[in-house]
Amino acid sequence: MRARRIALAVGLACALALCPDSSSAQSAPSAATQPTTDERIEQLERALEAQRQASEAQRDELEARIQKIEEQAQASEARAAEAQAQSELDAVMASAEEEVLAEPLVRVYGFADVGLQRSWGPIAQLIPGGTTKTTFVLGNVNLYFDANPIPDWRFLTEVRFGLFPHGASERATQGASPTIDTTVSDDGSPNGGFTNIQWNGVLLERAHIDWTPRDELGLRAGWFLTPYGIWNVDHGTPTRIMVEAPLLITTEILPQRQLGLEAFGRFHALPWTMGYHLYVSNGRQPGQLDFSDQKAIGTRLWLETRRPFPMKFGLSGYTGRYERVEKTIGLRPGGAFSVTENESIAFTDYAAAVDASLDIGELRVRAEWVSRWKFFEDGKRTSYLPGTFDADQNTFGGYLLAAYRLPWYGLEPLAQAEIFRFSLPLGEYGLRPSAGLNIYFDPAVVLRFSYTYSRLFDLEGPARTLSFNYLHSLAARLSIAF
Amino acid sequence: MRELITSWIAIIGLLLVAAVVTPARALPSLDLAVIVNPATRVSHMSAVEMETMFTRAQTRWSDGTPIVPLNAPPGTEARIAFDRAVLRLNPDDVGRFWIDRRIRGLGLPPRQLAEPGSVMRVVEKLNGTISYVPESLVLHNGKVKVVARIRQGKVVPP
Repeated sequence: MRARRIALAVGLACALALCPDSSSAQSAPSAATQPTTDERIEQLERALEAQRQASEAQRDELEARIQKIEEQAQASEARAAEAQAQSELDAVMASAEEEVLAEPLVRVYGFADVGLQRSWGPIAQLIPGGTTKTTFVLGNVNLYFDANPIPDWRFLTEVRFGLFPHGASERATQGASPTIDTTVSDDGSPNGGFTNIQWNGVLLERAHIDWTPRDELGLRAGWFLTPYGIWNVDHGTPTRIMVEAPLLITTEILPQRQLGLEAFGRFHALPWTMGYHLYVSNGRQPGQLDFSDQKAIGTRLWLETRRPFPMKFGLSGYTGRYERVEKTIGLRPGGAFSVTENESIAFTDYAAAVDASLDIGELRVRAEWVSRWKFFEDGKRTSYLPGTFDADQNTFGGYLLAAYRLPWYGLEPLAQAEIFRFSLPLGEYGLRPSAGLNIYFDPAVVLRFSYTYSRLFDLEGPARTLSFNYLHSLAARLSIAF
Repeated sequence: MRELITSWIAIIGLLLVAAVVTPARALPSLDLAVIVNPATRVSHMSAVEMETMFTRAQTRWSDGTPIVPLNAPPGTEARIAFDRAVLRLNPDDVGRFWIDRRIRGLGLPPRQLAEPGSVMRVVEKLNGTISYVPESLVLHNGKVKVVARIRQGKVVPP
């Protein structure tokens, strides 16, 4: 624009300079009053200069306005971009928070362990299907399915997968029995079924529905672990301190699991917390069903604190009736069916248990004791040997375990002593001293070793001088929790 | 017997070597503010009260509102400082504590939020929440309620 104006002024000046004669001729008659050419040029130049300055001022004003508009537009765009970014950030944050706070429909977690073990000694040779050589073993592959579909309601099931029953021994009948072989053809295999497989087992460790509207009261229905002691609650390999379960667990002085209804809750009197379990169930039965309306009942009371150091004390009780019922279906004269139910075995259990656990610094101490009294009903006793009947029994078991976490490399040596009384042909009492070492690679990964010596003996009556009444067992388990 | 002892000693030796190479972890210390939703009817909390909530031993406030504890992720400076001051557990012990509870069927640990800004927003908006953030973040924030502070590894009143 400016260049055009300058060019116009220069052009006009040139035009005036090139035609002086014509202008002087025209102005000749009035030379006295008319301005001279130079004056006119000067006037024109002044006018041009004024015009140029006005144009430049106008141009500057326009440019300023454009610049202002452009700045406003940029500011507006920046504000819009900032608002969009904030909106996007809010959306991302909100979704992240929702994701964090929302409960998934089902959570899956669990643990697994594999190991190496060896048992030797006369008792090991007597165990049907057992080996006295070093063998690798698959221990537990346990998956938990934990669902909270609505607030206060929970379904928890724990499923154990294992290589059993292939190679296992039948235990439903007393005495030795051949091992189970589950080898079958894999009919779905591409080679037309020439592949052999061994089908394996699934064990329901627990499956129950919980309703917990308050800390003080919750209700549980289903297949639950009997709330008693330490081991039965600790339950899984990563949680247990010792590899081998005490005999009070394996011989089920109290049933490990029950089918029924349980109430539970806890009360706080800080730093202490008191809790209870109260259940009614089918109790100890040969199958799933209860053939009597006399339900088993049990309870557990516990007291716990974490100050000045973690400790917990428990007291448990159980009573229930066991019955084995055999049905005989016959045909009466006249064609009607007759059903006779014969209760061949029946007894009532009473059991009590106490337990204590202390974590004093790096020292962990666990102790529990379970006693059981079994009273048969007349004419309904079990028979271990032909022609004899079992007497009423008092069995018990208890152990004391101490483990110390060393400050080096996750090492935890431990020692345990167990005593039990259990009616066995090889001896009435048993002692099981053990020693072990745990190595914690990580809170979730631990390797446990243990050595246990078991010996049976008699305290009352004529002692059985049997030479095959002891057992050595060495075990290692690598476990992982996830 | 000699083969048995040799093989077991060899296995134990290998595993001890594996344990030796596990790295050690540093011990940070951070001053924290324990915050709750403004509607919560508490003005201050002791270490024991916070411990029962963050171990899920207590799951409801006194008025019946579900307690929603929010943890920082494991291994973060805030989490380590909080666990050490309130639960009196180091990171490995905390890990074992929750594995034990999970396997016993007693439930899962509190939810985790990594960003302190998100923690503040959730605690501000969601009834029943309790969490902790670096103390400097709540100096000029009146939207959450501070019920305790953790300074130099000790729980002190707000």
